[in-house]
Amino acid sequence: MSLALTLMLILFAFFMLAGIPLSFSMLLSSAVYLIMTGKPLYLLAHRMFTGIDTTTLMAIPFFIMAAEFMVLSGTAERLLKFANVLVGRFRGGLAYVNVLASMLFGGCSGSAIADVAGLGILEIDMMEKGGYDRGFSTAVTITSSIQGPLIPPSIMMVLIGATTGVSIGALLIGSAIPGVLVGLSQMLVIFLIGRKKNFPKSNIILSPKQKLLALLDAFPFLLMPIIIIGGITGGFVTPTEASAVAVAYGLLLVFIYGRNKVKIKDFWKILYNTVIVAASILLLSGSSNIFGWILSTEKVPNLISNAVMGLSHNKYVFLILMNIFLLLWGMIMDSLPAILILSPVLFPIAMRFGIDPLHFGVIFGFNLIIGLITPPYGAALFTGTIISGLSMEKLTRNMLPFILSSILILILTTFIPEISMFLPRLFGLR
Amino acid sequence: MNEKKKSVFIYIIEIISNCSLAIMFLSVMAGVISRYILKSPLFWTDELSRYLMIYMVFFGSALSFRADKHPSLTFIIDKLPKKWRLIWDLVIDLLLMAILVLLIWGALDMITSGPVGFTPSLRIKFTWVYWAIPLGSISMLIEIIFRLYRRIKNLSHSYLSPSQEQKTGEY
Repeated sequence: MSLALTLMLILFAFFMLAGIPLSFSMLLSSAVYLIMTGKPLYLLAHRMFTGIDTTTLMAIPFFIMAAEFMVLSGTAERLLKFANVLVGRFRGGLAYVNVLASMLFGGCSGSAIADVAGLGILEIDMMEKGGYDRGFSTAVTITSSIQGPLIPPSIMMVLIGATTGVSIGALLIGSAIPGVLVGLSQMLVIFLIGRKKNFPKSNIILSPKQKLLALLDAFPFLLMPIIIIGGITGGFVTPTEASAVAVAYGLLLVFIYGRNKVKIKDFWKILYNTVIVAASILLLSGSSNIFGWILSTEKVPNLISNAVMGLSHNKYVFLILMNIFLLLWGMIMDSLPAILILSPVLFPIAMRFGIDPLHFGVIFGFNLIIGLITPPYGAALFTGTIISGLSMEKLTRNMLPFILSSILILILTTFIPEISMFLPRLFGLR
Repeated sequence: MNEKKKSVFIYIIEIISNCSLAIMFLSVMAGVISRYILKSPLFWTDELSRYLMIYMVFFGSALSFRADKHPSLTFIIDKLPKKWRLIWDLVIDLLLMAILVLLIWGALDMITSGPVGFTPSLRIKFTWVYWAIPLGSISMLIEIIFRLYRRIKNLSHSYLSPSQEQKTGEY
């Protein structure tokens, strides 16, 4: 390793830990490398441009915007009512409703934060009124939100596909089964805890007419995932176009259901909310392009994969190590930056171990998604503490069984490739 | 604290980035509609939307600074004593200014040096697209300077207030 590269990596680690925004930590350390090796600074700008100028990345702002429209049009209330009709009548019913509503909402939105912040407040309120304690209600709300980025659409899977070249359609569809399994495993946990703690049963009996009405009310919203998945698997639209169609459909729903309450100002606010989140992620994508370019010209991924291959040639040993490493990494870093920083290094290694890129992409994303709910730094957990007002320690204690059940599904997905590969193969996406 | 008074500067940045996003969406939709409904695909929609995205990212990043949305690891610096944290925030701002100046320099170098071609389908000069980088970075720089100014004002304020409190406590 050259001196310039060593210095760049040390500086990057320092800047990152010193709290400088990640994209600028990358740019700053890359600039030092370029100056030291006498390379022109225009590479900085040019590589950033290349890193952003990609059609596939456009799905990120669009999926963010679509989720905002879904919240504005009142999806959350309707899906919650519908989930109540389906599973509300069992012991611990409202906890199941919470998980199921997040599963359905996951089909409309690609982020866990939108789930906790949008749907979460209603879910916690509903469960507390139904006789559950606040800690448990919030714990279910936070942990069930990780279905959002697993069930398509998913901002995270779009980013993994855009940075690694794996088919985004295949990644989106491939993470659907793991997402549903996470929800089911969490329901199982509720079942087990509910028997021990004797959870309340709801005594409200709905008439068939009310049930039908709830279904009709929710139907246009349930159509959203079908439009997205159908559009991509049927080959009608690219994932990027599907994300724009999702925005258009969200807009339509706002016009139909929210005509009276929604003002022009709300649309401006949604554009603004989308811009501030999407710009920071895409800027990071640009800066990681120059950073990754330097790493690959210095053959760093090669060096690391040689080192890893020196440890073991067994692909399952590698995958176990990867899971542990990524779960720990996800504890301290948000998922989207983690994807941009780690994927240029980790994917080539996985290829050398002969792991299918699609399979690895799903595992990679899954690990970092669990990082959203694990302390000390979990974005969804953090949102949960804000909306519930409870401490991170108390929430973590309540969330522990759910986190463990999600990790169990992660292990299954790691060792049974069919869980993530079956659907993409069925639809001929790989 | 929530509703900061918007300056004209921020308002202009907001208009540029929000409109870029809105037109980006319309452009992609125009592409889909022209292919499926009008049966004659428009050739320029992909390019237009991509270039608007560049504008959205570089101008929008100034807004992300204001909204504190740029991902960063703060778990270490959060442990610093309050006074040192405030001082460290100033150091971060200075480093950000340094990298932005380097980036603006690099981007201007890219625009001015050598012949720049035309985009494949819209046939506009690439320079028009590239300008998003220096202009956006300049607006980020301005936002950081504003922030630095606010922070220095805060810092001198908090330097004064604890000592005043001590005095009132002592006497």
